[in-house]
Amino acid sequence: MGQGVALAALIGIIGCMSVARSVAVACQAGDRGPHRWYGEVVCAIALAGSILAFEWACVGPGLIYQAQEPSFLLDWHVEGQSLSYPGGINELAGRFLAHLMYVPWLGAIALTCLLLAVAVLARMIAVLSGHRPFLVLYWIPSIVLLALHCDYGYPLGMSLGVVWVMVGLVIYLQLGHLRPAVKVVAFCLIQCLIYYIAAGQAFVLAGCVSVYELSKGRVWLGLIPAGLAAGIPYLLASTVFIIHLPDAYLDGLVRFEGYQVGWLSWLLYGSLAGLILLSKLRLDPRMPIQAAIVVAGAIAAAFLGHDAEAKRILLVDYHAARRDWDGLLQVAGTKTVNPVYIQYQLNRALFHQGRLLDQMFAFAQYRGRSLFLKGQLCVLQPLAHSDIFMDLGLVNEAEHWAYEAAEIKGYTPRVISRLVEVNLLKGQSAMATKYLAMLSRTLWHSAAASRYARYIDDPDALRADPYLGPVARLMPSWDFLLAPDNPEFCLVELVKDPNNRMALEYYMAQCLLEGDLNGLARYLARFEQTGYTRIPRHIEEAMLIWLQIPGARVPLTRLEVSDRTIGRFNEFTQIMARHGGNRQAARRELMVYKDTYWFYWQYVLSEGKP
Amino acid sequence: MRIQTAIFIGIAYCLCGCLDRQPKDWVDAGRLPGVWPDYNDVTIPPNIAPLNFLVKEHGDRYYIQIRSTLGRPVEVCSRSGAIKIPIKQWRQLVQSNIGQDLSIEVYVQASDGRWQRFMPLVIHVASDPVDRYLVYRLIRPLFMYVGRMGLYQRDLTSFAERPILLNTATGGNCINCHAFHNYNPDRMILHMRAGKIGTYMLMAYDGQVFKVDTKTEFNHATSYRCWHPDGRTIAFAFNIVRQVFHARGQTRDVYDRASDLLVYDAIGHRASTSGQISSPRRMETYPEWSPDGRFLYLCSGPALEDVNGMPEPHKAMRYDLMRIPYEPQSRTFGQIEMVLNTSQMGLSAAHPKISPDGRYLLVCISDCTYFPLYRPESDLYLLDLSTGRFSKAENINSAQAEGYHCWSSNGRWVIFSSKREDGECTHLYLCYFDKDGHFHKPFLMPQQDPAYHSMQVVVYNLPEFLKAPIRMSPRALVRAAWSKRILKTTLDPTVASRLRQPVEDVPYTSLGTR
Repeated sequence: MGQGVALAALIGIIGCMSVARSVAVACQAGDRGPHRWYGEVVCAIALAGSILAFEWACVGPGLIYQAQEPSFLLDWHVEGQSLSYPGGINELAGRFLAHLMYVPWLGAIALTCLLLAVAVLARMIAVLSGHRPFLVLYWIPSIVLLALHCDYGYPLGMSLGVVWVMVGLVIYLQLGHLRPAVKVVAFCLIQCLIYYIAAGQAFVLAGCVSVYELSKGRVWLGLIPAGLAAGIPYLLASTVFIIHLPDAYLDGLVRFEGYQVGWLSWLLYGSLAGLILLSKLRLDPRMPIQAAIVVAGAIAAAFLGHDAEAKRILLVDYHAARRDWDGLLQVAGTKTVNPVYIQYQLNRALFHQGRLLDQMFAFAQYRGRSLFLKGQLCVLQPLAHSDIFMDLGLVNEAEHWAYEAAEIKGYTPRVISRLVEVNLLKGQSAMATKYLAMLSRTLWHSAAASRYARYIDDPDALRADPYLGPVARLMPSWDFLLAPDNPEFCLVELVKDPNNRMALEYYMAQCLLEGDLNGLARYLARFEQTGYTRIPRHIEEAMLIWLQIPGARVPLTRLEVSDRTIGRFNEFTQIMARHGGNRQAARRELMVYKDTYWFYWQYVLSEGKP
Repeated sequence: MRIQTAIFIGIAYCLCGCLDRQPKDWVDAGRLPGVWPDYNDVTIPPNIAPLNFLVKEHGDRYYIQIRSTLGRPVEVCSRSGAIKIPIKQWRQLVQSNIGQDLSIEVYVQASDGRWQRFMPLVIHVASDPVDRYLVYRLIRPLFMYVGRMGLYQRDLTSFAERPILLNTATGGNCINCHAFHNYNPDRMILHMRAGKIGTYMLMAYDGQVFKVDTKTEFNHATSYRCWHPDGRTIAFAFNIVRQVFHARGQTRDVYDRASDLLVYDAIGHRASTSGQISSPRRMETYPEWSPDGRFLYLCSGPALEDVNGMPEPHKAMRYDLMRIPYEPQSRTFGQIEMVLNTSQMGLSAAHPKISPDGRYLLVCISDCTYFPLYRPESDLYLLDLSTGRFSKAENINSAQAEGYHCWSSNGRWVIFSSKREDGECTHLYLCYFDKDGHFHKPFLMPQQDPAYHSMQVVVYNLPEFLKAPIRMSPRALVRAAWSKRILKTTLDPTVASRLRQPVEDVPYTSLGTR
């Protein structure tokens, strides 16, 4: 995967295009009859096939779903609200389309169909604008869209908006033979309709119509649409819709459900106007420049739209959402220095694999931030924040962050599932039933709803569930207050439960990260009490530091620090001694101990680094 | 053409499932049918919308007949058990039988074709109508972040609901604490908190809308409010609110770090107060004027200093019900006095509301704090101000939280919010209060789709009755909300500057998104 694969796929696209073009040119054989049509069809099939392969293998529709986490319910009460403001229909359709990405092959087909529709509409616009059809140039808007979809956050509703705009434009161009007054009226109706469907993107339609009329030398017909398009949002926002006036103009055009439009979107809009102006260029359909432009666009699409780090974060999120710890470690474990979010999920995965206190310092740890999400990250990833509390059995706080996720992201299937889970665990069957009904109205999760529904009347089945059962057993039996700004404070309470192994390991990890060896020593005996067969490596390393303190005593009777750790500690201290205790001088030599707590102690804690 | 019409009508008739007439043969079930919402034995106003409901009995077909002593019975057939009563026929039947009972007979056909008849549900039609319009805020269960919310007006005689203001048009901020002067839609105030617009009041006053900044050198932005009967004075609370989250049981609680009251002149835009309602040694909140305007009722709890240091300070915060005499002419206060010493009972009072005739006071009582909807034990209590008799309001409480309530203008109806259905979502219940001072069994505010409340995660907040619909356009409110023209409140020069905290602590954070 990655850019290499993307490039390979692009080379595939280019190859297909070249072959298709050769076929088309061969078929043309100097005439413009049906052979040319065959050529275009072959070209279209080749391109669509390549796009499908690119979307499926390189972009990954599942990651688009993961990034956008759409909320879409088969429920008129909920989704019907989308009809009450301009652009709502498009948002709704976009969310539906985003839901199709949940099934990767279906998502890839849906995206390809979308891009194919854009290409067909672009060709119609080009033909209706008054010039000869040409082989591949009308694929440019689709290629730009493809590039936009390499950005996983790019809303599918924006792509659909482009389709609506192009449909509007095609309808308008079909009216070319009508009298100017009738055309103005028709434009007004089309513009109102497209504005209602796609909000601010309707300005692109007005812009294209103006360009078309001006290119035909009809100055007034070129200026009137611009004026009308400017007036329609004002009129509708003043009479029909409850909407802030600047939003009436800007929503859909420069932003879409929180997504800020970039230059590539403007290039897309520009390419629509460009299709109309192409007639002025009198291009030779056989000119190689066509293919060159499309190829250049495709390459630019791959390189400009691809963000490897963003994809890595999404992959981590994808595996974490499925509790696929092996997959997560495969993606996240390749680097020792990770973004905070990846490190947070990596630590979770290490715990679930039983490796947290053995391997956590093999990765750069963010002191105070890599065990729990904090600050803005909680807002960006509220459900991931909820996950850690589920792991710890702190169901109330998991519920809290599931509700925050519902406000921030909407009632997505994952959010609804979490709310079902917490209500089942808390024995709130009425709310659980309500959320189950909601879950059954999603496109793909009704089977999960049926599975959960059994638990309402059967608590034994709930306790036997491989995920919910352990959580139910870890729920605290006493109440205490939580500190949302300092979520790690909960560990001090949770560690009191001798059965809560995660609380113990996270508490210990927190002590290690903070250098709180007194806190660590307080619960050392728990390792023996809870059946650990050996002391985890980082704990051994911390114990050896602890034992340097005069009077320090390890409260363990059965477990002992391994000889290997003692040996490595001796080597470590000898290197330090050789450099007279000078950390900086010893650093190069100590790099082989980079995965130890001693290294963290010396170079992060002692130097006060984050 | 006639044939086509006949076919169309035939198809429509079949789709509606109304090929059935009243079953001729049946067996008596000998019990009441399972229905939701529970509308059996409730008392309804004669102008209420149809009480659509779900029959919770297994069956293939359902037949319902509603009848009374006068008028034509109403028949409804259904294949799903969702009973949607035709509004016109319902109105005719109810209007013909004011003061009488309606009887609802439910028949259910099993899969073997046999019909079962259940014992009839009985609905009492009161002679006192309810105010036609109701304003409430619709939100979802909130913790710290706010997504979408809106203020809506419902016509109780039908199912018509329209938005008054949506926060999608005001930068995604928190809209709250709406209040009207004496059921008058032309005088409204509401609070907008945080977000792109900032923290201000929106005040609609006889056709105009103002954006008001109620912050002064003395107080932060105001929130809980009550219009004085004179129509120009508003009592406000200004609070610094803190939410706390529990590891077990009820998820969250709210308490104040500071809270005081002031009165605001809506024409002169001047704030004033008395040391007795803004004491640094007490926390005063939830102001409520008596209908004659001569008393300001309030809830008063211990100052934070008194409970600070406790592991769970909110549990020690119990509010008493107090009142202070007010002289409208001179706009001066008398001496504050205790009305209900609830803290001594180990309880806490919130949302005092006085009946329009001034005789009764309905108040929320919970174990602690002043946010009853977060306290499952919260119940409504009735205080007879003429006799001093104080008791739990009969018939209307449940095992879950009962919260904000409002008296109708004729004093015969109360609407209150309750979490009784599921413990999380707040729904609105209408309850008849008869001339003898007794509450009748409350009923859930009817919805066109009877399954609506059981399927949707919505929270109905702050129901307020209105005598007429709001004429102010939502767009005028949006314009005012974004307006740069802000009426700045001045502080009465006799009130000393005493701003405690430099910044406001907001309980809910705006996401600022659509």
